[in-house]
Amino acid sequence: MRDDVKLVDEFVAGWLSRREFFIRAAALGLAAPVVSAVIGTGADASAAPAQASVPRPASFQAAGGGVLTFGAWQTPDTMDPQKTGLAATGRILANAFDPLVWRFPGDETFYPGLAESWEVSPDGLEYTFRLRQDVKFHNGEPHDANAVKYTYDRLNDPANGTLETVPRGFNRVDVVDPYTAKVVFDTPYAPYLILLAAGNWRTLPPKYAAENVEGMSLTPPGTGPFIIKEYVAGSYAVLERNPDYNWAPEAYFGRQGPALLERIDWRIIEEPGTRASTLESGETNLIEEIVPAQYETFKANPDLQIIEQATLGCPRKVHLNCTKPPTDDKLVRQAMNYAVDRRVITDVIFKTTVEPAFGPLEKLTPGYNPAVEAYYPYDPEKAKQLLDEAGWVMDGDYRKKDGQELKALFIVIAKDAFDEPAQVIQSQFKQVGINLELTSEAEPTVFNTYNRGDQNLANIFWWGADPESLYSLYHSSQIEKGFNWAHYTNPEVDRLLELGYEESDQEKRMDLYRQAQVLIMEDAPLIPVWGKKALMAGQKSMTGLHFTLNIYPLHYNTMLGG
Amino acid sequence: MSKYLVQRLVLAIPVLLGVSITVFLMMHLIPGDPALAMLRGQPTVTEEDIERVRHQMGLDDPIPVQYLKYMGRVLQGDFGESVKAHRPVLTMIGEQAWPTIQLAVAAMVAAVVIGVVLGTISALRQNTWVDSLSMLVALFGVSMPSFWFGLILIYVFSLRLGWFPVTGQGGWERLVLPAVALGMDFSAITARLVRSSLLEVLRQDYILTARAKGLREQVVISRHALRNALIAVVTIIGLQFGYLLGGAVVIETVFARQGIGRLAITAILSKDFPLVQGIVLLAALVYVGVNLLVDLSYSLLDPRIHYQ
Repeated sequence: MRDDVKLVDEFVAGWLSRREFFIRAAALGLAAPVVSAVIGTGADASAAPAQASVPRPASFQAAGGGVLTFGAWQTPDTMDPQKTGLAATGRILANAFDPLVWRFPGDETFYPGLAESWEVSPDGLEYTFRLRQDVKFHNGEPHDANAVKYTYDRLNDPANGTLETVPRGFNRVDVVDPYTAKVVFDTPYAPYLILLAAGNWRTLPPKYAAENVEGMSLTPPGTGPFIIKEYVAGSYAVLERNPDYNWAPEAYFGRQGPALLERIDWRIIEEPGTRASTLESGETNLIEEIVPAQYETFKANPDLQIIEQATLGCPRKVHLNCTKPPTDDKLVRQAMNYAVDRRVITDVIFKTTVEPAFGPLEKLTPGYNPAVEAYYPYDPEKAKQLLDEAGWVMDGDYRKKDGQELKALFIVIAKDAFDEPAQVIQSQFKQVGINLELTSEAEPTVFNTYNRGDQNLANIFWWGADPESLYSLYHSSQIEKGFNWAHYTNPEVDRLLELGYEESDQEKRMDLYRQAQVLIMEDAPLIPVWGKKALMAGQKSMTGLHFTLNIYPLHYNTMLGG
Repeated sequence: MSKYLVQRLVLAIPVLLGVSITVFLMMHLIPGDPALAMLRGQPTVTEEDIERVRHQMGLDDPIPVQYLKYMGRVLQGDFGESVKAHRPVLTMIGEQAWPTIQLAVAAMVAAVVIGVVLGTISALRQNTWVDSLSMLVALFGVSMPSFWFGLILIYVFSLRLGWFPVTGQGGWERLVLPAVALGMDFSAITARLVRSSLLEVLRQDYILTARAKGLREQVVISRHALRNALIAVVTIIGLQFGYLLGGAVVIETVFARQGIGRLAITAILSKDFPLVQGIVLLAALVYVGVNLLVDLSYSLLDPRIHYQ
C-alpha cells in the first residue's frame, strides 16, 4: 500500500492521534523526494512557461480540400531529418521534404522528383543527378547542387551530432554545375536509389541548417507540398499547404501544382482508446495505428472507412539462434517452423487484421521471392518426424536426447506486441514435444542479450524499402555487434548479400536477393510469423491518400469530401 | 522562523544530491546499448555508426567521470542537451511545465472541493446512509485506476453527452475531465481524512463551549470545527502533490495533453539521460519546496505552532 494512503488509513481507523499523524507525515515528506524520483515526475515552476493554445479542431466544416485533423500515435523526438530514425517524425517529414527520385509501394518504376533525370556510371560508383531548376525550400533558398553537397557534408561532420547513417562507401558530392550534383562512392552502393526514394538523405536548406539549429529541430524548411509551420513539442504540428509547390511526380499522381488540403493539424494522441474516441467525436478525421480490437467497430460504422496498407521490409518474425543448442541443429529449427500455425496468431490474436508471413522479407519488398512460400507450411506431423530424425524422442510431456530435455528459451522483447504470439508458439511447440520457456526483457538491454546469444528465440522486425536489409539481419559480419540475432553464418548467403551492394543492374541484383532468401529459408534461422500492416481509420468521404515506400501517408492528393 | 528556513534549505542539499546520484546510477547501470536501439532500421548500420552514436550520447566515459562532468555543469545552471531532441533540457522542461502545473493545480482544487464537501457531509451525518454513500464513493475513488477512470469520463462526457472535448488541452473546458480524473484519488483521501478529523474535533471541549455560547451550528462548523480539521488536509496536500505529478504521466497520455509527465516517460523509454536527470532533479526540488511551504503554512492556520 502507498505510504500516504496507509497513513491516512491508520489515522482514520483511530490508530494515530493527529499529532502522531503530523509527525509521520513530515517523515514521509522528507523521504518522498526519493520516492518521487523513482516513480513520479515534477514540474519546474521557475522555468518560463511556453504554452501555446491548441488550434480548434477543424473537424466537419472542411469541404473540398479543407483542413485535415490527423490523430498521430507517437511523439516525434526532433524534426531534424538527420537526427531521427523515428517513424513519428518520418511521417511528417514525408509531406514536407521531397526526395530526389520517387518510387511507390508495389510499383517498380522510378519517377523524377527533385532530380529531373539521373545517371549511374557503369561501375556503379557515380550517381549524377540533374536537378529541377525551379525548386525552392520553404524559406526561399534554392534547391540546387550545393544544397545536395551540404546535406552530405553535414551528415559527415561528427560535430553535428547526426544519427542518420552515411551511405555505405560514400566518398563525396561534386557540384558539376549549379544544378548538377554527382554523388561519388568508393565502393558501389546499389540500394542507393531505392533508399533515396524511401526518404533517406533528404536535401536540407544549407543556409538555414547552418545558422538555425533550434529551427531545424522544430520547423525545418523542406521542399515538399506541405510546410511545417509550427511544432509544439509533444502536442501538435501544423502543416500548411505550400502554394509554390509545382514539382510533384505527375506521372504517378496524375496532376501537378499545390496539395489539395489547405492545412493538416497533426495532433499527437498516444493512447489508442483516446485516439479512437476523437475520430468518433469528430475531433479528428483520420487516425493511424488503430488496434485490432477497434477494427470491427470502425468497419461497422457507416461514416468511417478503414485504410489498410501492407508494408515493406521484414515481417514480424522469430530469429532462431544457430549457435546455441538445441537450435544449433538445422532439423530442430525446421521442425520449429513446421510446428507453428500462423493462422492462429493472425486470425485469433490479430482478428484477421494481418496475414501470415513467409520468408525473411515482406511480400511488397522489391526482390521478394515467392518461392519462399513453399517453405514450412503448418505440419506438426512433419515436425515430429524431423525431431525424431534429429534424435529427440518423446519421453513424458517433452522430447529427450541423452537424458537432456528438448528445451528452448524465447526472450521476448517487452512491449513489442509479441507476448501473446509467443504464448501461442509455446503451446504449439508443446504439441510436438518442445519445451519453450518464455521470458521478457526490455529494449535496449535485450539487444545486448540477443547479441550475446543467451536466447534460442528472439523476436525482431525491420523496416526497409530495399532488400539490403537482409545484410543487417543475416550477414555473418553482423553477429554479436549488429542485428544478426540468429547468429547465422552461411558463406554463400554472405557472398550474395555482398554482391547485392555491387550489382548495378537492378534486375540482376534482385535475383541475388531472391537466391539468398531461398538459402536462408533452407537453413531456417527464422520463423516468419505475420506481415506488418499500416492500419488507419478515417472519415468515409476522405480520398486520395498515398503512401511512401516506408508506408508513411502522403497527403498530396488527400481530400475531404463535402 | 528564518533560522528554521535556513535549516530546512540546508537539509535539502543532501536530498537533492542523493536523488541525483540515485537517478544517475539507475539510468546508467541498466545494461543495454541505446545506440543500437536508435540505429535500428537505418540503412546499412556499420560498427562506426554504433561508436559514433555512443560517443554522441556521452557513453564512452567511465560512469563516475560522466557523473562529475554532469554535476559540474548542473551547478552552473547547465542541464545539458537532450540526446534525442538536440535541444536544451531546461527549455524542453520549461515548455512542458505550464500545462502540467495547470493540470496539477486544477486537479488539486477539484479534489479539495469534492473531498471537503463529501467529508463534511459524512461527518455531520455520521452513520446514516448519506455517510455510507459518500464513503463508498470515496472508497471507489481511491481504488479505481485513474487510467480507466479517464477513459470512462471520455466515454460518458465526451462521446455520449458531448459536454467536453475528448482531448484535453487549450481552453478551460479541456481541463475539466483530466483534472477530475487526476484529482479523484486525492479527493477520496481528502474526504476520508476530513470526516475523521472533523469527528475528532467535534468531540472537543471548545466545540461544546461554542455551542453553549449559543453560536449558530453553521458558524460552529465552519469557524471552529472545520478550520481545525483542515490542518490534516493541508499536510496531506504536500504529500499528494508529488503523487499528482506522478499521476499526471498517465492522465496526460490518456487525454493527449503535453506536459512533464509525458516528457518524462518518453525520455525514460528512449534513454534520454540528460532529460531524465533534469526532470527528476527539478521534480525533487519542487517536492522539497512544496513540503516546506506546507510546513510554513501550519503557523498561519494554527497560531499556536511556531518555528524556532
